[in-house]
Amino acid sequence: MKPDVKNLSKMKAAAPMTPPAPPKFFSLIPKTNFNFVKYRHVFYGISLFLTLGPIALLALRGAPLGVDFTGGVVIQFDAPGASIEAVRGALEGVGLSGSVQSLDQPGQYIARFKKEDEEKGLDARFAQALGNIVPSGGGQVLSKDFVGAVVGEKLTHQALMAIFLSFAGISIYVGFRFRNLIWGVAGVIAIIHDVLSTIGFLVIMGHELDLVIVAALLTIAGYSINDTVVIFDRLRERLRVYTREVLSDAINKSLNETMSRTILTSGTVFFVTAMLAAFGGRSIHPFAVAMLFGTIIGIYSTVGVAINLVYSWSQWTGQRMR
Amino acid sequence: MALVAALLFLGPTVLWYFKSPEIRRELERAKQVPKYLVRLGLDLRGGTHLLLELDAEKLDKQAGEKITLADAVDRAVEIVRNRVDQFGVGEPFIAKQGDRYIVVQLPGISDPRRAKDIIGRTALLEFRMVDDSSAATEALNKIRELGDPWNADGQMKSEAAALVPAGAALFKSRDEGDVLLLKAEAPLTGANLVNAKVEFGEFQFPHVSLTFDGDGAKTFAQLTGSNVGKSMAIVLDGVVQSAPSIRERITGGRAVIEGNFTMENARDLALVLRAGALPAPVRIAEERTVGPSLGEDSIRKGVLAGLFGASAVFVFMIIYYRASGIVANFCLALNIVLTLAGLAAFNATLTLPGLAGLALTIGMAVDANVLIFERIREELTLGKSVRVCLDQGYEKAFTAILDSNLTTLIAAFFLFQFGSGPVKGFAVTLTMGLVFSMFTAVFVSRTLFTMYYENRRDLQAISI
Repeated sequence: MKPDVKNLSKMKAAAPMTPPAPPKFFSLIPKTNFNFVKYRHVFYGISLFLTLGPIALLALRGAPLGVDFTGGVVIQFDAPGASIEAVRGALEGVGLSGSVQSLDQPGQYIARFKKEDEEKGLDARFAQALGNIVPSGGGQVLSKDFVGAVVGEKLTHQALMAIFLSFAGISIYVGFRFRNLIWGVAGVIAIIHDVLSTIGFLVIMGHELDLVIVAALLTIAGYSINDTVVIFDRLRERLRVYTREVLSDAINKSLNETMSRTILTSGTVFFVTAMLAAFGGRSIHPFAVAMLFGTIIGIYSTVGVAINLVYSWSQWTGQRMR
Repeated sequence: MALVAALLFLGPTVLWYFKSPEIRRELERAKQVPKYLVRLGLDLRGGTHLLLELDAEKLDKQAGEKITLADAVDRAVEIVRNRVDQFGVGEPFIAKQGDRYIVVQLPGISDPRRAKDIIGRTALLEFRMVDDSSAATEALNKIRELGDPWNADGQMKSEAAALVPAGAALFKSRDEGDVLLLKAEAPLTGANLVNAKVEFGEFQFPHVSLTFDGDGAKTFAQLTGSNVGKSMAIVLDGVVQSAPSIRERITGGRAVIEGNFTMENARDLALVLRAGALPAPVRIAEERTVGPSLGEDSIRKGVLAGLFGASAVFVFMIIYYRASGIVANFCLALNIVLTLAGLAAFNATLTLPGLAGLALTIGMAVDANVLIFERIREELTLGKSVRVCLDQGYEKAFTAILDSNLTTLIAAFFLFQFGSGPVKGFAVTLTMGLVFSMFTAVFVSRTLFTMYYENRRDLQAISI
């Protein structure tokens, strides 16, 4: 195009001749173009395994429930210089029968007793045993948890209510915001999947399930749905703008476009959780480990499960997704 | 502009927060705790959490009328509070829970056993005459032949109960295995006490000296006056402590409980007698004790881990988003400070999972910023002008941020509703962290950008 010489100065001031080169960003995440929808059956397969596996495991082995739910006494204590046999012997010596395990630090142990023991003067007898094991008086109770029968039932009930109600609330809210209940249901199936697979993971790792783990599970559910909604939001936007686009393309593009954000956010959460797990100390460790696994599975569930469920639903019912 | 407002709002709370750790301990003693304070949960400070259950079946029918369960629990709460006050714990927390439970939190105590003992004792003190009628003495001999008249679960065996004559009741004696038949009615109880203290008697053994109130003194005088030569039993929680014989009428309204007391036993007994008897026995239904060393350990490690995580995130944001990363970091820092201030403002309790929640908030708060920045990058790639990209980035990312955080908040809400102590603390921290992260990411960072680019209208590129 021949520039209009008379108005050259005006034109130069108004706008450049060619569009500027696209800015360069520092990005660690390459532009992906993976066809998620095509492989959805693979994802379904993996997910089924991840969910049914734990269920089978629990059915066969029984759930390793912590004191919070079963009732009983758990005491963590410090018995410097004592061997585990000495500890067991001393406990038997005062008439206490409980299981003893050693903790990560030498000289520190954890003992579990039945709730009936507490009512028979557990404190006094335990103190006596501790005095016997460590005559110098260096033995110390680090923590004690006692849950009576009634309270145990109440806590179990509360935990289940919390999980059930929050899942219901989430599915309703998402269904409402996205104007179609299937979005909510897909999201909730994804978080149920997350919770079950995390439980499976914890059982395999030998952690018992207590109230703090329930808190971790709910948090994992929260983050997973958070992640899911971000992608649903992008999909919703795409469907509105590119109305002629085929659903599978829309889904794939949405997933790929948000991939950088997904990896970044989950990366930071994962890293912080890893710090907690590594350096946070013994008390918070089970929580942190659960969160670590849960973060990853949360991303997977969004990508592999939730979004594909929306697709499958639309295929199955012939509904046009909006 | 809004930024300045945010800082102003923050300032006072932050100052309080920084002041409190230093002066806290002394002020705690004087019960002058600063108004806006972040409380440390028991799992961080060390201490004991107890859940007491009032045994509704054994509600005392002493005064003739049965008191309602609700009243009994309220009274029990008061009595427990009295006892704990005298025990000298800084910042205890005692409250009714449900219809028959009492929550007791004792931070920082080193010997939970003694505390449990003091709190859990019914401490019902009664003065009864020993039944020395011939029928009673006969019955008593027969009962003694039976051996232990009580079953393993505390109920009286029917053969023994049948032998107890009318108007009398069977009581255990402090001496192992012995029983006594006392009159069924107790004209004088611990309710008539006005004081109880430890004194030293013969041979320097401690005993508990009791002082009755006006009515009590009168009753005591009358009782002793009309029963000279007989024995009066002093019964504590259903066990006869002693049954001295009355030598003369006592008008001074004072009595003494003797027995093999150690100094500590005597002191504790005086304490519970002063505080009053519980209307019904309580049982400990739940106990969580954390020793102070574990608590400190947890704090240290939790904070350390959090700091590592936070610094890494800070560095990363700058590398990844360059100057805009600094904006994001500022928002993140502001977020944490706001969250802590929020905790202080509501006098919320920071627990160990709460610390974890703070750390997680650091990870999640980044999310909102990332969403916005990524959106801005996308728009820039499409070639629009910088101002437009900035605006578009914020607008388009907004729904994503709102919906996603709200769904997480739903989960946090139910955690709060149904969680117990430490878990509740976590839910609170998480909720505040998320809410403030939305605020800082959307509002504050946008303000910062606007402030910076206010004067540079033709900007061709921004550092992002």
